[in-house]
Amino acid sequence: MSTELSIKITHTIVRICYFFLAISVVVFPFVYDKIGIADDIGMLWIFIPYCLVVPAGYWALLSLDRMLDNIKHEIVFDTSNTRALSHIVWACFYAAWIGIIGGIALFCVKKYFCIYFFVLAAGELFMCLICQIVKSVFQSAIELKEENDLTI
Amino acid sequence: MSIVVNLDVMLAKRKMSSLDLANRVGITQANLSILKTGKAKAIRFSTLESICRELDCQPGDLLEFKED
Repeated sequence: MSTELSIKITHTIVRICYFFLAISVVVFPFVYDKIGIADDIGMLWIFIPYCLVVPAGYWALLSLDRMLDNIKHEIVFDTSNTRALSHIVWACFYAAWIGIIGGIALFCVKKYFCIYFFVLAAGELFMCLICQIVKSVFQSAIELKEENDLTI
Repeated sequence: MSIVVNLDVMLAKRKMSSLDLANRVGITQANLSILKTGKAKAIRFSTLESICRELDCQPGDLLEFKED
């Protein structure tokens, strides 16, 4: 698969995710009722953390969109991309903390089901770590590129 | 910077303009300017060779080490 096609597909997927994220917030209460996830917990204990995490999701998607746009215009190792990666790191970090706090709150109310929040938070923290490493790689690449550009 | 590039001095001695030298060596005037102003991080041997050939000088005439 050529790089151009790969970037186009990824960009399309990111744009679809914008749409699905918005739909999920609207559809969540109906899905919750239909599949009856632990009815005695109360939907709010899951819905509120989910709603708090959605803006972080949009923030991360916007940063990804900006990065893919830059790559399409052959702007790869640039500070704008490291900035976008930094935003993704913060978005994942924020989402992880919402997960942890949600899990602790759910643990205080009901002893079960909170494990899913902690698992999701762990996943978010892992994503955070990966993005931070990729950002460090990009920063090193920018330094090497600058040095190469100043080699006559 | 510890390595000083005395390109201006050699250009004046040989009565050659930066543009002329850049065209003969095959680099852009912008790159030559980076070299002249000491902003360059490195120079390729091939570039140094071309500059020395065009200015009829030695690398030591162009590059000087100065303690900071």
